[in-house]
Amino acid sequence: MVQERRLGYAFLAPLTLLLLGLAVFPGLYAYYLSALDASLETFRSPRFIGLANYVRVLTDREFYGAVAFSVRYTLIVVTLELVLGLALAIALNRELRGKRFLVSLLLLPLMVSPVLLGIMFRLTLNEFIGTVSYYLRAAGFPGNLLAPPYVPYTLMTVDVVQWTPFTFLILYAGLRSIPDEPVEAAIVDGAGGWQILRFVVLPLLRPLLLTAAFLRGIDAFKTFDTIQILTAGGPGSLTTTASIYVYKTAFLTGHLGRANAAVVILLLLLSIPMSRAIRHILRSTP
Amino acid sequence: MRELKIRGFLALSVALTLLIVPAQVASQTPATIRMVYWPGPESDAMRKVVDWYNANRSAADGVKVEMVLFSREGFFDKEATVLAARSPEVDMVFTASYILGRHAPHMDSLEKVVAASGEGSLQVFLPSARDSLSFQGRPYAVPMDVSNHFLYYRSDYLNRLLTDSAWQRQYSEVAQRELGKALSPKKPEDWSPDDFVAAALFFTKTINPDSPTAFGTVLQAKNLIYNVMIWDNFLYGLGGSWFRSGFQPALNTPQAQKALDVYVTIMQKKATPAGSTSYEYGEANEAFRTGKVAFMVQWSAAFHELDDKTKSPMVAGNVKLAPVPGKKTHVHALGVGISAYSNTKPAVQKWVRFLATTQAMRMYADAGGIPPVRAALANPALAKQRPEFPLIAEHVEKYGYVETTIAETVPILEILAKHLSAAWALQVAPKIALDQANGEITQLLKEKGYLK
Repeated sequence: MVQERRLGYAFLAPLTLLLLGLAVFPGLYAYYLSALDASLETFRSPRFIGLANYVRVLTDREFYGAVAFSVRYTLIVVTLELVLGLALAIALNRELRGKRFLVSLLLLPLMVSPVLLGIMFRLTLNEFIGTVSYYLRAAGFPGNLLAPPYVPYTLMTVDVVQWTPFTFLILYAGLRSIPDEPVEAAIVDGAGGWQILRFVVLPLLRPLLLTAAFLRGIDAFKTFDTIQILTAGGPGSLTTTASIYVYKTAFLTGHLGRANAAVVILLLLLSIPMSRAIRHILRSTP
Repeated sequence: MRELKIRGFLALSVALTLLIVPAQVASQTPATIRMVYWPGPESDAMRKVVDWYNANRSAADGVKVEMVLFSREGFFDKEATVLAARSPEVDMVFTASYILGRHAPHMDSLEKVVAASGEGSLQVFLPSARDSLSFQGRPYAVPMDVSNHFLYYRSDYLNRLLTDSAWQRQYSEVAQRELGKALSPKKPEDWSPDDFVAAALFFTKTINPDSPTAFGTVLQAKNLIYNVMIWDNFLYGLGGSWFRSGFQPALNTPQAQKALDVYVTIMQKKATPAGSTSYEYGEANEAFRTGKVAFMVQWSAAFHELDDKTKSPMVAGNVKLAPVPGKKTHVHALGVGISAYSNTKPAVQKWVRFLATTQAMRMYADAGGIPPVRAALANPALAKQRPEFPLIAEHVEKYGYVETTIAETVPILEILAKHLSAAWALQVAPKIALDQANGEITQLLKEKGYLK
């Protein structure tokens, strides 16, 4: 019995150590650094400054601007991705010629790295060599999609293009797993297409919708690569996300301690909606 | 007994051989030094110098040089991490003027490493490039590649402006109507920032329907520290600078306001493409290459591709260079210095002394590098292939300035990029942007002890 238990611990040990090394230690270290006047130059001998970094972050207007932009960005892109993902899943949840090819095509953006996608959009939106810009100009659109006031919405569109396939994939799998009986029963009861969607399909898909929203929400809030490539958070701070704020604080202004304080504050801010979301998902999962 | 003696002698000989031979071999094996570089044309050029050195000087100096390439994205962050860990794995640090202040505490000064004058000394290099890699008055790196800015212009259009009286009349009309100033065309070499703006408006189709180009110029207005370096030319050209005496920020001065007005006016009048707010080096080149732009302020590295008939067929042959209006050019250099944590310092010092020679720098220039050494850049044979090289030497020498090399250089650039890009995009009034930038820089320098 004791030997079995030991064996169990032995099997658990590698993963536990990995988790400690890659998640627990960096997490605790972030808390530790957030109380220090740490920079890349003073990394080996930083001063303890208590809560000064937290005060500095919490009195920085730019931090609130970055958080507000990230929240707005997340809400819009996740909503759009869920709606479009669901629409695509419903549209493809039937016998169609060339369906496999269509699904493969739909999943392509998911396989492109965000940095590469950023570069692709930088080229296609360029007003001298970009195809999108060319057709927009031909259609009489006078502006540039990477300039204010359009730029925040352009960034959101890039996210939607890349990540709608992800929600589509989850929801399509969910739709395929819905049994025929409830739908057939609803048809027998005289329900129309919209009523079937509203009262049968969506309730059954709810756990998957919540899971997709949760995963995309976390990811969208952390968005860094595409925005950094396309606008670097500008002009000014117009498109600075929380992640870009942390990156610039750590590596451009060199305040590692302050950047870690921002990370801890963000973690605290997000932990409330995240824990509620997790509870909600667990409750709605059979 | 005699046999025993012979055996003892043999055993002793074998033991001594085993002890001495490896020591001899070891003493002949050159010390290997590891030099960090970033991949690209700079490392390609350096590779040729390293290969030559390893083949021809390695045995005599007892030094073998190895290059370690970190990827270019986030290069200085990675290097800073290695230095912060005090790793002896790296003997030579790759640095740049704007990051030197952060690296210098982890580096050895070259003051006593290189010769005082002549070959093997830093006197081989142009003064502003040398200054750009000095920290608190002491040299820390050998300048390997120098970067500066030029005014790139279409000689076909600008020459016509100087000879065509109808264009000249139109130019003066545009300047009066749009700027309220009485200006007449001048040679690009003599432009002031006002002439730059007036010419930008003249060559913009929406303002002057007879313009051969859609836009007068193309600004690089993305929120990026390198774009601030380009704007700085106007600030310094108008007599301003980052600091008054003693690190007191001077971004809320009339000169800074006027420099910012250059960009703001061009943006307001749409004399630069609308997408300029997301433009950097590559986009500006693309705009110029399509022939829709008459001139631009750009990095020296662009000439090679813009005047190449295969890469830029629409403009090549008509691209000329002039000083940035105001006749000041930002100068920064990339260079290599000695890590304070190196375990092979005598070997590294020999390599550094070799790099500080005209011979090494000529080799570097021939291989595609841009060393700030007059003798290398003005070499007539090389100038045939790279006609911009002698101009780089001339401009860096005559018009070059270095903003600062303190450790806070990048944070200051970052503050400026944030606030100026908002003004460039017409999101914030210029005065507010400058006041905010000045305030944040003041706060930063107070925190770091530069100001009381």
